[in-house]
Amino acid sequence: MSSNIINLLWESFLETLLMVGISGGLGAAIGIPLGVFLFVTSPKGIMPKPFMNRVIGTIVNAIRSTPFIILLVAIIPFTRLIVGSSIGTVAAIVPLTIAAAPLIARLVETSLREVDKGLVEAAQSMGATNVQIITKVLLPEAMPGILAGLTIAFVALVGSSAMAGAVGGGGLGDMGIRYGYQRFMPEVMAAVVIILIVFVQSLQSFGDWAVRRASHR
Amino acid sequence: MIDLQHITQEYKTSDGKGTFYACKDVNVHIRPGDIFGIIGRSGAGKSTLVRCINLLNRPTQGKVIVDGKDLTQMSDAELRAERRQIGMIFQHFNLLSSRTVYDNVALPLELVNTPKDKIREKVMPLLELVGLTEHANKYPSQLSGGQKQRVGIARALSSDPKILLSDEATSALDPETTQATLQLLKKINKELGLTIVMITHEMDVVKQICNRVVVMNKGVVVEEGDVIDVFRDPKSEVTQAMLGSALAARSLPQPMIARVKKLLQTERPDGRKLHLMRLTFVGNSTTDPVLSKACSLFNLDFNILLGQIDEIQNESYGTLTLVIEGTPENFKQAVDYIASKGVRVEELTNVI
Repeated sequence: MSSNIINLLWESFLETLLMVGISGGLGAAIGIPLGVFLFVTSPKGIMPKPFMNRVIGTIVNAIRSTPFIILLVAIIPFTRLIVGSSIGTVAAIVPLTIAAAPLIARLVETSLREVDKGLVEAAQSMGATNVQIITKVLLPEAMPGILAGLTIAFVALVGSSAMAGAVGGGGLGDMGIRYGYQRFMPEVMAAVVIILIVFVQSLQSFGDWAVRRASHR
Repeated sequence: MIDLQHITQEYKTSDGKGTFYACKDVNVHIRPGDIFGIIGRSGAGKSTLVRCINLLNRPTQGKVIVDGKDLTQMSDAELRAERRQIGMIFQHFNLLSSRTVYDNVALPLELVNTPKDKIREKVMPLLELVGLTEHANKYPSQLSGGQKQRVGIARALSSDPKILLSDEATSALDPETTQATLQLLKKINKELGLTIVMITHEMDVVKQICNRVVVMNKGVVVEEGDVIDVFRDPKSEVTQAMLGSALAARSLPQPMIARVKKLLQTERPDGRKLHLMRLTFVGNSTTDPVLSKACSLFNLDFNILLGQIDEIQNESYGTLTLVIEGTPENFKQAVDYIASKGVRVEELTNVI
């Protein structure tokens, strides 16, 4: 493998890292509050708002049911509005974030449901406000589940980022298609796959470690 | 201290047509310093009722008056402030697994932004009171059930409440731990002057630490009174059935009943007859030789089948099941004599 190719692999890896890192971070920043909202406003939640809950829930489901490759091109005008361009790595981050946030929201909502209702009752009996129940009881108690959910979301983002090539986003997946497949360079394809395996494996191990640290059950 | 007036809690049944009453027009008055028991089988409405006291459950109708203030009329903020006066402990402890023992007990104080040093001044003596000082930095998962409940108690006490609600607090604990927990609650009641309201399905728990009790069945109060009176003379069938397990020795084993039946039918000389009797002694009558005196005065013979003595609220309470032999006349006089000494006399000859 020429040093050119090795350089390209390194750059592609950095692009993947950038896309997954930023969209994952932004996705969590939007998805975690969204998940909390979905949980507490559900009909049996601590601040029931059935109508808003239905509306937000439907939007979340709609985004989640759109295949990523379609979402990527469908929101090009929006992407241009946000980052000023519809092509390149930075442009790929917008659809990746929009895909990650609803996934994270649902994963967070599921972890919050696992929190024993007795704990909420206990906090209410102490005179806790709803905000205190969220910050002092629900989020800390659901933290291991939320971290496990974030790990899943980050791994899913690695997969989605492979499609960023469609808008010139680059990254390992794009390189695998262009060099490995279209230029018949199987060794490049193999290298891309191996790097991705090691990358996902490390993400998962890091996630598992974080879950273990947060869990005191 | 606590006045529950006409508490009614309705639920729609699952088909949406009928109405189910978890509580129906319940009136309960709890005095300061009481250890007040609410007892009933599961589904009797006791859990609903106790949750009305801090409005975790808002009753469909009725007033909840704590310390002269009607909680049902309060704003959310006023209610939160009032809830700090009412600690609560739970059957499954409800401790935060993400916090250490110390931080669990500190939580009610954190909620009102108590400074860190003030929290420490409050939490450490409480951990000492419940005997968990050396476990302060452990997580709940590292503790036994009894220790977890003591954390629960310390947490409930950290906001200096005047009332402690206990929702089946000992039901998930083994007998020995139950004892220790009950003794701790009694100590808190005495030393801190806390009013304790506890719900339970175990008569033994009521017997050991409560001074007053209500018995609930299907959402209504079927009996209310001082514990000693309810135990001595249970009025409702539900209470009698529940007492059955607390005073198991009041009933004879089955094979024995058959033998006694046979014995009661045997002919005796001189017109004497056999009677199966149960005597219930309370207080002073437990130490008086009432039975021995009656037998010598009225020329009776007796055979003791079963006896039991117990302490409830520092009063002795005993039952004696025996077969008495005598002439009808003497027997009647003896029964009157024994009853005049404050012993409850029941004839069971035709009951078994």
